[in-house]
Amino acid sequence: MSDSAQTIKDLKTLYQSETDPDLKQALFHQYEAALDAALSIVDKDIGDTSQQLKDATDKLQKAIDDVREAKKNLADVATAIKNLAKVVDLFVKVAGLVAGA
Amino acid sequence: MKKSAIFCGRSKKILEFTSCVLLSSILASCGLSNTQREAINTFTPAGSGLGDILSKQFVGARDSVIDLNTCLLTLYPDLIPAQPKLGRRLDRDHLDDALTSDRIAEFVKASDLIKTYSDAINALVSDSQQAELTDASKELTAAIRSYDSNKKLVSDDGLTAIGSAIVAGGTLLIEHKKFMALKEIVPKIDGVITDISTLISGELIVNNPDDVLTKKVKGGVFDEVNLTALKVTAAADNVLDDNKSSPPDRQIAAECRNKAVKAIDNVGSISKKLQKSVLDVATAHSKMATKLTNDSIDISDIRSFATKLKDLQPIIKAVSGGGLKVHL
Repeated sequence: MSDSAQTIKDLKTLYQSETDPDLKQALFHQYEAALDAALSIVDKDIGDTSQQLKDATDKLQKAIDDVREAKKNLADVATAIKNLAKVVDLFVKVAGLVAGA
Repeated sequence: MKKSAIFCGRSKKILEFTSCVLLSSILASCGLSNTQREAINTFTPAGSGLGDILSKQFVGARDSVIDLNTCLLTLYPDLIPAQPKLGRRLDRDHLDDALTSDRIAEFVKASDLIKTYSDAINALVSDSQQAELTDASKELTAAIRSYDSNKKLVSDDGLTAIGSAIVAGGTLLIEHKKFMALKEIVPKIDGVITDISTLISGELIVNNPDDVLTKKVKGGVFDEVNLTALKVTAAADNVLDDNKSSPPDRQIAAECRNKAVKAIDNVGSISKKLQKSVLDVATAHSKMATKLTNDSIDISDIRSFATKLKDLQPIIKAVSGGGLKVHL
């Protein structure tokens, strides 16, 4: 970075206001290099976040499975009633056999 | 032993049993309260809608970076190295730079899972099992009629009432099951939803490039778009400012500059809205978790419960033959 430029913003201002073509090119490349340096940091940060996200999404997937399982289990009530109907049916058959005996 | 004798011996027991099942269902069932439902109804559409939007934004950000780096490669080939350097992935074969397909897939997956989770909760809450309960009730009443074919124990009207009571009692039990499931799952996952929302929200901030460079802040996906677009803007300006640039080069530079400005405007204009939406969804989820954990019942829940009981009163009377009464 140029000695007089403390920040990317300063460098941009310097590069844009420079009238000397050679110096302007040098400042342009410095500005691009500064942005590249910032992009290197972004690269690492995004990599870290995506790894953290991976761990969190595994847990969320488990919660989704649990919610879906709970929805499936709602059918247990109707199944229990149907089982009761089967028991009554069976009882009728047994009662018929007993009466016929 | 005659069949009729068996009927007489069991008659009261059947009616008592059905009445008891129904009343136990009503009294034991504690479904979702109105405020809990309200909290769920706030979270689920917000989570579902946001998931879609976020997925598109992350994929769009990657496309944008590829497009912008293609511009850079056209304008200043030297700015895109043939091989990766200085810790960056960017080279002529990897114009997506930090936004690799694997990383974007993680962001899209997280966004999609928020939608899937919201939709799964909505499906659970919306599932009343009415058709299944009605079928089961028909099977049971048919079995009772088969047992009491002479209609000595229960008339046709009484049997219809029993059928309705079974559906009503089953509905209350199902509401209770939903409540217990949500109470178990939602508070436990709340911290994870907060973490995911915070991580995603961080990717949607357009930070000051100097703050990124000095590591005052964590860089994210929108920073990648913004910084790449700043590079393209400078490169395009350089071509446009150079008197020696040919008209075709100028045209390419102007088009690239336009793309870069649009990319900067796009991330800038949606950044805050998206961040707010993500954090709003996390807040809505936390509220839902708190409501489910606190398990408080307010006056509207009591009114709603009383209304349910009132609706069931004639059925209960019919089933119990007037022996069991609910006073409201």
